[in-house]
Amino acid sequence: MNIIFSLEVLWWLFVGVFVGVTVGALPGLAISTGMALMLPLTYYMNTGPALALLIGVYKGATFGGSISAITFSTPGIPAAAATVYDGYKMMKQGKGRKALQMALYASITGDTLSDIVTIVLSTTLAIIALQFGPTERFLIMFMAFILIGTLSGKNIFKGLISGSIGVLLALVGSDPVSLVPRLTFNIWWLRDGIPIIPMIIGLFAVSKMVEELYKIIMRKRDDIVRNKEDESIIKALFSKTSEKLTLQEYLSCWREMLMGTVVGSIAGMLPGVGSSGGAFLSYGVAKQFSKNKENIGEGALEGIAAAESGNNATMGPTLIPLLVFGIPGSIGAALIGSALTFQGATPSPRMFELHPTIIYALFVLLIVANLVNLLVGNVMIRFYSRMGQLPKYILAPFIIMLAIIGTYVVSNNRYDVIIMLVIALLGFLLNLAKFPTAPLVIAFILTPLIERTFRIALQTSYFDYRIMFESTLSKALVVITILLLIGVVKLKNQRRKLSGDFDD
Amino acid sequence: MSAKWFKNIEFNNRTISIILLILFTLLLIYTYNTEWSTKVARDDISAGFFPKAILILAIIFCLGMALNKQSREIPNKLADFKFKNLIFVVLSLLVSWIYFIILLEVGFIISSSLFLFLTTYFLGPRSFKISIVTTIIMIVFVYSFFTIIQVPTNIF
Repeated sequence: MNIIFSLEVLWWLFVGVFVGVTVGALPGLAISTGMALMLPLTYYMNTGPALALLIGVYKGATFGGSISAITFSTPGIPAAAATVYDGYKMMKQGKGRKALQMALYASITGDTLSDIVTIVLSTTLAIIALQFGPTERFLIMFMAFILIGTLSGKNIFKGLISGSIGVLLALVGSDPVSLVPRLTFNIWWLRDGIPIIPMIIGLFAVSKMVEELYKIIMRKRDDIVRNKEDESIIKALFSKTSEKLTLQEYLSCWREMLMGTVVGSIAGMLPGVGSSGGAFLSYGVAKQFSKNKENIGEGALEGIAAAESGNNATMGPTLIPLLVFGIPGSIGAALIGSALTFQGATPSPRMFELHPTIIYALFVLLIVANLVNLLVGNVMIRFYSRMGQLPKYILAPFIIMLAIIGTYVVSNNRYDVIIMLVIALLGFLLNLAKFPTAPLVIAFILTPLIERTFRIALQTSYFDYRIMFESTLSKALVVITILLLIGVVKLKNQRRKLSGDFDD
Repeated sequence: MSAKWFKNIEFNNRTISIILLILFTLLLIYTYNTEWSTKVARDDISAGFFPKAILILAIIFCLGMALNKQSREIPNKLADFKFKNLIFVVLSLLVSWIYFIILLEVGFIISSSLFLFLTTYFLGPRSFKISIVTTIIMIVFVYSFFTIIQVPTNIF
């Protein structure tokens, strides 16, 4: 346990939460942008600080997204879009401070309860996962790929195509067995494949900043004028007369927070649903079953409680498929998985056996990060409310500079920067055409594992493809996936009705 | 004539899927015609097996996207986008690359100060004061951050 109980770990947890809430509070930056920028730094850190930094960003950003959602009606991250309905109405009623505090406390409550679910479930499921052979492991990964592709975004086929692009990018480089270069187009520096860091930074940081730069070039004046209007909103928010949240008001929303926690935890466990799925589903459930359901959507604390506990409750459970099967359930989980791989602890079903200290450190950090999030959020909420005013003409060049340095310093290889910039262009075009990027990156990470388990499974059966559907467990997995697909596509339709235009 | 023809294209989901379908098909043809794709490893699986399998799947998904009921939808960001403006996107990536080359040649402080000052000045309200102050703050912040972590690199 000495890998986490040190001042250094606590310091990086604070840095992570601070960066995370900042990223979340800035519209235009996603959780993945913050995590992608921090990932190269973890390369040079010990396990404890590395995990602390990434978990801090992961958790902080989810709460941070609600700040600009409430203050400016602009969700900092897509997951905070459901918070806009009630949060911004409360803001207009002069109850913005109360709404922000409710968002913070509901986020922490949902997050903490779902972390307990994560700890209990992942340890139990890990025992079951150990019974899986290479065939079952291949099937479960292949099914995760289909599920992630199907569940991300609005158009099923866009998710699947995005996943296919991720697989193709992962296949660039030498064949793991014959060492023959594949899909390299005779470019020698692609023989080692596409590294994860340029891929993630290009896709999540630079592509988004290029989009912001494009917006600045197209309508520069609007951006500058809006900042002046925002100043008066912030001043009113923290004036002496603004109402604070009382303990009684917080406790009165316990049902909605519980609904959010349950729905969010289930959504988090399903690869591809994501935190915005969790938020909208929880909000939908609260709108149907809350005691104050008539007022939800009109500026009710219950609406904020459900949406915020719902999106934060997905955070921990997205790690369950990662820790149990090695399958990242979200971009955030994929990036934590990458950091674990840098530390020599590649997520797999044997992770609990091989790296128990890292697993338990991760569990402790999940809980402690909530306390840090609560502290940082409470103390610095006034500062964060102003973050939405930070002009993009300052932010975008700064992030691009950090991205270039972060990409280069990992292996001091200039070709990594070329790859990163090309991937950024790809990411920009994918965003433009509304292709979800989560399936791409998750498929990119899963492909080497899928390929390896597929090859092992075939070798053990003397190249008989029927082995894939021979065991009872394999058949059960196929049935479960089909049922899940039917169920979740129905839930997805409900989410589409509720969410309007917001996507992960 | 060709410019007019291009202007008349409606970039809806179907058009996007057809473009991708063509790209994936070309890649599949390329994979079939390369020497590496037929080289078989000791586990009896050729190097081209996985690329071909996923390309065939991708082509099926493109067909699905072209034929499903959302195929006529135009992604809202794409509706506002003018393709002639793609030059700005490529240009910003090119500027980033030039910054990186200068970074390798003259080091972090000079190259990054120049990059940040010029970008914040030309993209922002053209104020020397704002650009200088933000550049100094950002340079000090990044330099201290990377120094604390002690990243082994030659750029600082």
